[in-house]
Amino acid sequence: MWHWTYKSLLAQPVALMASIATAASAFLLVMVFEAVYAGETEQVVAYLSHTDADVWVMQQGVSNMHMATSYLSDSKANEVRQVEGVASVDQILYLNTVVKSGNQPWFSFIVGLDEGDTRAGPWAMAEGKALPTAGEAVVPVVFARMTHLALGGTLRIADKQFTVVGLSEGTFSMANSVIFMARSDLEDIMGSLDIVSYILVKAKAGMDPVVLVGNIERQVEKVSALTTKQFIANDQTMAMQMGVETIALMTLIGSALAVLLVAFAVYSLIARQRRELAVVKALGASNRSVYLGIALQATGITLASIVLATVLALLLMPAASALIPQLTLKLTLVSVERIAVVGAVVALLASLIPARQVAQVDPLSAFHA
Amino acid sequence: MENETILSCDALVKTFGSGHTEVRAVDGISLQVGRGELVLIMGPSGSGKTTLLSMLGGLLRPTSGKVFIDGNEITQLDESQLPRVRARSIGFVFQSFNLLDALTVEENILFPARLVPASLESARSRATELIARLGLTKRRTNKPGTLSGGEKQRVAIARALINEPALILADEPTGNLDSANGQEVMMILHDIARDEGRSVILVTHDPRVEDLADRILWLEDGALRDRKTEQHSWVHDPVCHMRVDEWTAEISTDHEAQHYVFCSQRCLDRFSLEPQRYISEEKHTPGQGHGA
Repeated sequence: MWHWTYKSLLAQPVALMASIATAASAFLLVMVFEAVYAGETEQVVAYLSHTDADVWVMQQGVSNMHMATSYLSDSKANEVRQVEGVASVDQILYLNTVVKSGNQPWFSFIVGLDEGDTRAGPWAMAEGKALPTAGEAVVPVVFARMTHLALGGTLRIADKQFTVVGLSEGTFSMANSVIFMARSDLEDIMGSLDIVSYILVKAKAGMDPVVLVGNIERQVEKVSALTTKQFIANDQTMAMQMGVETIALMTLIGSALAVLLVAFAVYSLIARQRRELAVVKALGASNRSVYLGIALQATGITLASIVLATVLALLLMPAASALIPQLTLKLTLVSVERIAVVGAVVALLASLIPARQVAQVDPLSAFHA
Repeated sequence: MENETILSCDALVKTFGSGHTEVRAVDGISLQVGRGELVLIMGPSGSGKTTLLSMLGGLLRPTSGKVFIDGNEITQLDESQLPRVRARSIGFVFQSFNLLDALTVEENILFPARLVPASLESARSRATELIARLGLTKRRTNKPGTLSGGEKQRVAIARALINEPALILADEPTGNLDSANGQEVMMILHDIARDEGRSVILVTHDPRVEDLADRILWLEDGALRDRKTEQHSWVHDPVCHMRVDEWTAEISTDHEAQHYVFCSQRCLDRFSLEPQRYISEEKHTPGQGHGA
């Protein structure tokens, strides 16, 4: 039975390839959604991941950065500096707001840096300088390309005009783009002096960041402290909550589409094989073995379409990233494994749908074929 | 050995529909077929021949009555048990061959063996014997699409024999074959019964095979009747010139106010393409009128 199943699947190569290609397009869609999700999940915390800090200190009760507001007196930085186990501190002022370049608005993180603050600034530059002074801004290179900005160009942030002096790499995501300016400029925009939003703490060698968090919260009043790892996790959760439902829905739609397409392919296959199914039943194949044969065909089509979709994804994603730079695509092994699991479910469902059709094939019709 | 009953059925009834629309396709048939016997079931269209054959082969449940194969009642088996009986105990030969297109000649022959656990290895050598015996050696790796009608039916017969079943059920096995191939297939079925001791039940309209049969059963209105030999009205098929009983022939056509009967659909198809050719050939062939 398996032998016939396998050979009859290969006997119609054009129909088989069409089925595989159709199902692969649905899996490719799911993979793109997964890649967007994985890419954005990583990119949304790219800034936090690249700062060289072991502990983040913020306003009491605040636990993340994305869409959050944190105000601390800049004297808190000195207090933190005195805590046992602290090697050094840097402070940033932070605001999330809409930045306009031409008519293009973009939600952004604005980070106000002190002069010489390399730890909290951009970590890779495409062009220009990394640390802005008064009246200057460093913007993501992707943002600059999208809004046709070049070095020396201007953009408006909260009704103040800034000159672009640097284009940073890896600082753009759909949920947040990181723009750097001088802390004094950001204080002007926010109308407050001598405040900071976050204090970035570097621990002394051998100091456990978890212990340091406890030390800071005990010794400095009205602040919250988190290890960088915990801070990133919180931010990732917060940021992705806003997009995860959409991505999950799209993945579900893509998976459902894959089920329908594979089921349709199997259904067509059964329709084409109806005469032969009647014959094999008449010759003594049980409903169970015929059904298992159909399930095997569905599995074969699904597996082949997943492989094809993976190959296409690996080939097309670099091109897609180049064409749509605002999209961060990342195809991970976990994504492929998840899609393989989805594929197994797809194959099962797709072979269940025509099961009734298989059962209804009357072996008696072999006499009338 | 000849007295050993391979197939028997008792008061077999099959009705379709109910109330005013009820049709008794098979009406109380009892039958016994011994080992090595070749039995012909003949009758007009709609007489219930295929219905009877289907019930004997475990493909259709009777409304009432019992069917025994090799002493085992198959009518009491459930749907999950019947396929095994079909695979082990019955060989089917169909009018339209019903070979599996994706498989080679050898793979088609071996297909029923794959349905019976642990029989595949011994079946391989048997397949080789059958291929040689039925003149298919050069076609062993061919797909059905490249075979002639006669070759296809020989493959189907080999497939029916691969599991060495006690019973062969053949439905119009010569229906799609020309005269020479039809004759050859009939001789093979005859040898299967005579030499191998298998019971062969054959539903046919082909009067050529009557001489080969041990018994001829005439089925009409769902019941077996006596077949009177004087009830023949022999005419000739205008295409292959084979002798055809006009009274029982199912394949016929009217052309220019004349009635023509044929031995097979194949001959009718040929006639339909070039009727004038065959009519003029017939006129120039003394003593071979269509008789109608």
